[in-house]
Amino acid sequence: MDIQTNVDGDTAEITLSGDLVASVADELRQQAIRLLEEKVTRVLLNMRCVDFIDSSGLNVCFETHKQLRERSGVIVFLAPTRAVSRIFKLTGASQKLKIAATRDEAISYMKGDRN
Amino acid sequence: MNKSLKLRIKPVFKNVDIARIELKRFCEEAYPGSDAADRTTDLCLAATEAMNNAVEHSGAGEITIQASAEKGGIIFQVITAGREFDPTAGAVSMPELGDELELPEGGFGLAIIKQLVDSVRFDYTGSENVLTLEKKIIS
Repeated sequence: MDIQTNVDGDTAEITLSGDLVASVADELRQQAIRLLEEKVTRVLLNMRCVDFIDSSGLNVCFETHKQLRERSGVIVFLAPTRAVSRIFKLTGASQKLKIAATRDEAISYMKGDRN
Repeated sequence: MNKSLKLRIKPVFKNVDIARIELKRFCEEAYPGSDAADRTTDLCLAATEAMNNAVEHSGAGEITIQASAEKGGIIFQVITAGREFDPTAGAVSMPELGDELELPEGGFGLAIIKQLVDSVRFDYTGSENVLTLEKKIIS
């Protein structure tokens, strides 16, 4: 899995490509920890190119969501693919995580969550 | 067309990735077409969870993966030698997601498997653990 990160102040966009699965989930976990240490509080996780996710990948999504919320931050999951949406829906994650279909929607949500 | 697949892998997650790719290819060859694609994906996801579970918890030095295409479906098995280890013995219902600060950080694997396949069965032969998943792919 490829992870590309762009940071702008307190906001970061992480773009994932490939499978978010057990063998690579820790890479994303470590990247999230680094961003939190850099005082990032707004994260856009771009999932347009994530072909597959397992429960390890899902767990990292949950962990990152929880850690950001504990710091009054926010994470938005952008454009999950069909396979990822399936798992989000199956586990109820789609009810609890913020999922945006478009970048504009994601940015609007992150701005609105500023307080 | 191959009607069966058999792999032996060392218990590391990267080998699960390789096995998943092989399984996906096998399923797509056995049941080509977009109608079968969603069910094939479901089976591959359940299989991935089962293999991950074996890597993490079985203590086995080698994991055997078998799949066969028959009667419009796939029978998938994860086999490990050694002490009895029943991966189906844990909680079977999907973990409850609490409020935003209490999302669970684990425990979805078995629940996901049970939601995505038609049957899950565990057998211990006295020397081998055999987890069998069955999924209908076409009507």
